[in-house]
Amino acid sequence: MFLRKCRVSIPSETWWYIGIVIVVIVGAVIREINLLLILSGLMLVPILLSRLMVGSMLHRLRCERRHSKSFRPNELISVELALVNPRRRLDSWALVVQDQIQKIERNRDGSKLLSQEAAPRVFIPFSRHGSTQTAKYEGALQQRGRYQLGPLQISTRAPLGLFRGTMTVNTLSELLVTPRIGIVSTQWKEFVKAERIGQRSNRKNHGQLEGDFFGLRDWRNGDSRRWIHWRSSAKRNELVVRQFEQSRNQDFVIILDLSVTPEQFSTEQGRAAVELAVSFVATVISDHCRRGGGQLTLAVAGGTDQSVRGTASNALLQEAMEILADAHATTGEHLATAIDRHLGRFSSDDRVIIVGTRPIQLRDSARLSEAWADVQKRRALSSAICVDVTSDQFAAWFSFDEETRWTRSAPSEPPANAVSAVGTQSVRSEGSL
Amino acid sequence: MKIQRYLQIVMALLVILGTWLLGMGQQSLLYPLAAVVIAVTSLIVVDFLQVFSLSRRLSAGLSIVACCVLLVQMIQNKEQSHLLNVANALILLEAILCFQSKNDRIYWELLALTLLQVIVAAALNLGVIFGFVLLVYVVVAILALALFYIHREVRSVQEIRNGTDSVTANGSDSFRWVRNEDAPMQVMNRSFFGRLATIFGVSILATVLMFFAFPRYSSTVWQRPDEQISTVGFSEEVKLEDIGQILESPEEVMRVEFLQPDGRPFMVSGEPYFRGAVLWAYNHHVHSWRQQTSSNSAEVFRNHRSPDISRTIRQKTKLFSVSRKVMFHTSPAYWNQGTPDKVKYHAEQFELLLDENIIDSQRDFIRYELDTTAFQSTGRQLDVLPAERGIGNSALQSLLSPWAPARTEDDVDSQFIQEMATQILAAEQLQNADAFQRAKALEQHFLNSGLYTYSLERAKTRNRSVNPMADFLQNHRTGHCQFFAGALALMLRSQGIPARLVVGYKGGEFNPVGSYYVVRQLHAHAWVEAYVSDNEWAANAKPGDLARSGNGAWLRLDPTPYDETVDADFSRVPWYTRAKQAIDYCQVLWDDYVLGLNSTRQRQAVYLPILRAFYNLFSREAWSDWFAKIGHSLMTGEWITWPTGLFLALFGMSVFLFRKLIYESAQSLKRRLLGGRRRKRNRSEPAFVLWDDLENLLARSGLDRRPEQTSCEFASLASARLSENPDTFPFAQLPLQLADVFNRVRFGLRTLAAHEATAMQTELAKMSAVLQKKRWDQNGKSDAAAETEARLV
Repeated sequence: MFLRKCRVSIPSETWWYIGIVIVVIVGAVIREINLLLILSGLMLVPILLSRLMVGSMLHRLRCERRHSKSFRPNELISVELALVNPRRRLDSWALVVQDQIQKIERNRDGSKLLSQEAAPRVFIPFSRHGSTQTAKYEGALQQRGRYQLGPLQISTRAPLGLFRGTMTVNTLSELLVTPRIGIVSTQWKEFVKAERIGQRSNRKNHGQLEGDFFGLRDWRNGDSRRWIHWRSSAKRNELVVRQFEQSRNQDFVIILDLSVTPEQFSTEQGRAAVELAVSFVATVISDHCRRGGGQLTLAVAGGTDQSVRGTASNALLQEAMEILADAHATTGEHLATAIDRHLGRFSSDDRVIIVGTRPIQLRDSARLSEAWADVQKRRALSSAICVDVTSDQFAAWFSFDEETRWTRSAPSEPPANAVSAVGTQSVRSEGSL
Repeated sequence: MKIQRYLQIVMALLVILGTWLLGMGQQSLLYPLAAVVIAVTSLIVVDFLQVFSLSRRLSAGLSIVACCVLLVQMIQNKEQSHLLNVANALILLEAILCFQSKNDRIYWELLALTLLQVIVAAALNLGVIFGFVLLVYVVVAILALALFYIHREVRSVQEIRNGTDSVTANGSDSFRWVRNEDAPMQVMNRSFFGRLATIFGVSILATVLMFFAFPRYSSTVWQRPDEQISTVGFSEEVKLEDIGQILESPEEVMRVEFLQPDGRPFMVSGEPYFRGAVLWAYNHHVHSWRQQTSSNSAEVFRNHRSPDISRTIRQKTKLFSVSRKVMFHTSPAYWNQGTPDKVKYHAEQFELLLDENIIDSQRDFIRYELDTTAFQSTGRQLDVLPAERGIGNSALQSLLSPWAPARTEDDVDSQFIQEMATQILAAEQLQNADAFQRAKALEQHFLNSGLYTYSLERAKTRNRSVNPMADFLQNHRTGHCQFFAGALALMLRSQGIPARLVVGYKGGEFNPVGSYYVVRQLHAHAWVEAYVSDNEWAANAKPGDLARSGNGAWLRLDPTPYDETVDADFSRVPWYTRAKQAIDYCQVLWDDYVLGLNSTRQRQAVYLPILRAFYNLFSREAWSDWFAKIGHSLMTGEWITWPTGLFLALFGMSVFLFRKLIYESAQSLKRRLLGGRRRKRNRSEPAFVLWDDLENLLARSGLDRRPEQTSCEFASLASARLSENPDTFPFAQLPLQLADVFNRVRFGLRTLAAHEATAMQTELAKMSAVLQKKRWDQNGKSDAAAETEARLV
C-alpha cells in the first residue's frame, strides 16, 4: 500500500526531438557520415538519461500536508506541503506538487460525491536527500461545506525537461468551511427580549455550592464555613474559600429546518435561502457562545438530521459549526420529526427558536399532532419563535457586513410575514440572543 | 526574473555556437560574425530593454520571404550544394526568431533551429575544431534545456509573491503558490550542475563507445577530410606531396639507450642518426624514392658480429611502432644476445628488418638490442661507413638515375639540376676534386648559402608542371628535409656520384635521468649517403674512422638546415607550440579515427584489440608477461606514468563499485529472504513478538525499517503513513502503542500483561487483514481503476 509507482509521460516536444534523432541516425547510416553518427549519439544519450533520472527523482518521495481544520468562507486558507526526501544520496529538483481540493457533496440518495473545486500547484525547487522541503499555497473558499484535500501529485521534468514523471501520493485530509457569519441586529435582540416579557423566570435555582468551580480566594467575614477549602487552607495556613460560577442564563433550543420544496431545491433562490438560514443560525450560535452561559441545543431538521447540546462555549461552537457546515437541504417534511425527537428530551423551559426557509405553521395540528399532544412539547412550542429567512422582516434582523457579503449570489428579497412568534406567554429570563 | 535572463543569455550563446558551427562547414567567417551581432543586439534590444520586437505577422511574412529566397537559390545555383542553401535559410530564420518577443514557442523554435544548424554542419566535412566547438555546443544546449524547462515549470505555477498580491475569491483560481523570490534560482545549485555535468560526461562517453562499436558496412571512408594533411613521420616511401601543411606528430616511436660494454650509459655527442630505410631508386615520373631490394637478399643476421669489441656500444631499443618492419639503428649494427631471432639484414643498405611474425602479432611494442660501432670514443657519430659490399652495375645504374645509363637530354628539369650543381662546384673550384670533396661542397651549399629555409609549410604556389626538385631549387627554396635530401641526391647523381636517400630519425628528447632518447614522429628525418671509393675516403679520412673494407664507403650528408622547432627538446618548447602540436595531432586522430573510420579501420583499431584483450584474459602467458612487466616497472620506477595512474584509478573505482554492488545485493537478498522473519529475539516475550510481527507486517507492505531508525522513529513514521489512508486510519496509533510497550519491556524490564498482549494481538491481526486486502486490491487492479476508485471514495 505504501509503494507508489511513478508514471512517466512524454511531452509533445520530446516526440519531435526523438523524431529528429531518428532522422539523424538514419541519415548517418545511409549517407555514411561519421559526424552525424556522433551527433545522433550526443542527442540520444541525454534522452535515455533523462528517462532514467526522472523515475529515480520521484522514487520514495513523500509528501505531507499541514493546515487548519476549519475556515470561514473567504477566509485565507493556508496549506503547507512538506516534501520529504528520505533517500540517502539522490536529490530532486524542480518538483511541482499539485493538490486537489474537492467538495464533498451528497446526492439526493445521500451518497457521497466529490466535485473538483481547485487544483493548486506549488513549486519546490530543490529537495536535498534526507531533508524536508516545504512550500505553501493560499487561497479562499466561498461555499461552506466539507472539502477533501488530496490526493497529491508530485511531478518533475528534471533534469532536461524531456520527460515528465508523475507520482500520486494518497495523502488525504479534510477541511471544513463553516457557514458565513453575519450580524444580528438590535431589533432581533429586542424582539427576543420582548418575547420574554411576561414569561416566568427561567433562572435556575442553584444551591450555594452548585455551579461551575471558578477559583479560590481568601476567607472574608460573612463567608459560609461550607465554602472553606480545607486542604488548601492547611497548605497556606490561612482560610481559603471556593468560588463558584452560577448559571443565570436562559437555555435555548434552535431548530434549523432545511426541508425545502422541490422548486426551492432546484433553484438558485432556494439554495440562497438555505444558506441564509444556515448563516443566521451560525451567527446566533456564535453570538451566544461568544458571550457564554446557558445551555444551547442545535438540531438540524434536514438531510443530516444532527444535533448537539452543551454549555455555550467555543467547543460547542466548533461542534455546531461542523454540523452547520455539513447541513444541506432536502425535500420533504422533517420539522415534525425533529420537534418530536428534540423537544421531549429537554426542559420545557428552554426557549425554542425554529429557523426555516419558508413560513412555519406550528398550529398545523395535523402535521404536529404528536407534539401538540404532549404537554411538555406543547408548552415549548407555544413559546417558540419561528423565523422565516425569506420574510421581509428578516432583513431587518440579520445582515452581512461588507467584508463577508456574498460575491456570487445575493439573497433574494425575503417575502413578508416571514417571522412569526407563536408564544404569547411571558417569560422572564436573563438570557438573550 | 533571473532565470529568464539566464535563459535569454544562454539562448543567445546557443545561436552563436550553432551559426559558428555552420560557418565552419561553409568555411566562412561572415555567418559567425553576423550571428554574434544578431544575438547580442536582439538580447539587448528585445530581451533586456524590450524596446523593439517583431510582430508575429511580420515575422511570419519574413519567414516566408526567407523560404522563397532559399527556393530561388536552389533553382539558380544548381552547382552549389543544397545543404548550403538550407544552412543560409536556417540562419535567416534564426535571425527573425531572435528579434521576436520570447515565449515558449520561440524558445523551442530557436532550440530546434540551432539543432538543425548543427546537423547540417555535421553533414559537411569539418576539422577537429568542429569537435571541440560541438562539445561546447552540447554543454550550452544541455544548460539551455534545463533553464528552459525550469522557466516553464515556474511559470506554470500560479503564484503569490510574498503576500504582495491579495487573494481574490474567484473560485478555483483563487489558490496560488506562495513563492519566495529566489525559489527558481534555488534549482541552480551545485548539485544540479553536477547532475548536468554527469549527463554531459555520460553522453560523451556513451557516444564514443557507440561510435566505435557501431558496425560499419563499407570499407570506404565515411567522411573524408577537406584537406590532405600529412604528418612528420617515418615513411618507407618518400613522395613529395602537392600543397598543404605537414603536421608535427608528437607520437612516441621508440626509446633508445646506449650502453657501454660495462653497462654504464654511453653519452652521445650531438644528435644520433637512427637509420631506417634506404630509398635506393628514383622514379622520374612518379617523383618517388623507394627501395628495390627483394626479400631474397636478406641474410641471417646472427653471424654478423662486431669486429672491434673495444669500441662496441650496445643499443637498447623499445620500439612502439611494431607495425613497421624496419628496425631503427645506428649503423654499422651487429648482432648481440638481445637481438631477436630471424632478423633480416641487407648488407648493401645497412637495413635491418623485423620478422613478419613479429609484425603480425600486432604487439604494442618490442624490445631489441644491437651492437654498434657507429660512435667514436668522444661520442661523436661517424659520418663515413665502410661498404660491406661493392656496388654492382644494376645498383650503380639506380644510384645514378635519371642520368644513367642514358642521360635524358630533353628533360629540362634534370638539365637545370645538373647545371646548378656544376655551377656550385665551379664556384668552389672543385670541378676536378674527388667525389668526397664535391659531395661535401654540395652539402655545404644547402647549409651555408643562406638561400634555403626549412619549413613544414609547403608552398601553395608551386608550379605543378615542374619537377618538384627543380621547383624547390629554382623557385621557392623552402621545404622540409625530404626536399633538401632529394635535391642533394639528384645533384650528386648529376655529377656522377652514386647517392641514395636514407630515412629514419634524427635526435630525440634525451632524458638525463634515464639516459635514454625518446624519439617521436616529429624527429623523423631524411638524409643522403654518397658512395666514395677507398682511395677518396683515405684522402679525406679523420682520426677515429672505421677501418676500410676495400669495398668503398658511404658518406653521410645532411643538407637540411638546422630548425629549432624540429630539433628542440619537446619538453622545452613553449606551451603554445606544444598546444599547436597537440591540436595538430588531434587533427590527425580526428581524420584517422573519426572522419575516416571505415570498416577496415574499425576492425583493426577496435575489434581486433578487443578480441586480443579478451583472448589474453585466458592466456597464461599473457598474464605472466603482464605480472613480469608490472614487476619490472616497479623495480625500475617506470610505473609512475599516466597510463598506470589511469589504470589504478579505474581499478579503485571498480573495487568501490563492486563492493557497493555486493553490499547492496546482499542487503536486498537479506530483505527478500528475511523479510518475513527478521530479528528473532526472545520469542517467548510477547512484546518482542508483537513488535517483530508489526515490523514484518509493515515490511511486507513496503515500509521497511531502516537500520538507523529507532523503534519510536519507525513507529511515528508508520503511524503517519497509516493515517494517510482512511482504511488504515483506525490503526494509526497501534505502532506507537507497540513501540511504547516494546521499549517498556526491553529497557524498563517490565512484563506485558496478558490481556494487554491479547488486545494488541487482536488489533494487529485486524490491521494485517486490512493491509493484506489493500495489497490484493493494488495487485489486482490497474492504476487507472485504482485512481478512479480513489476519486469516488
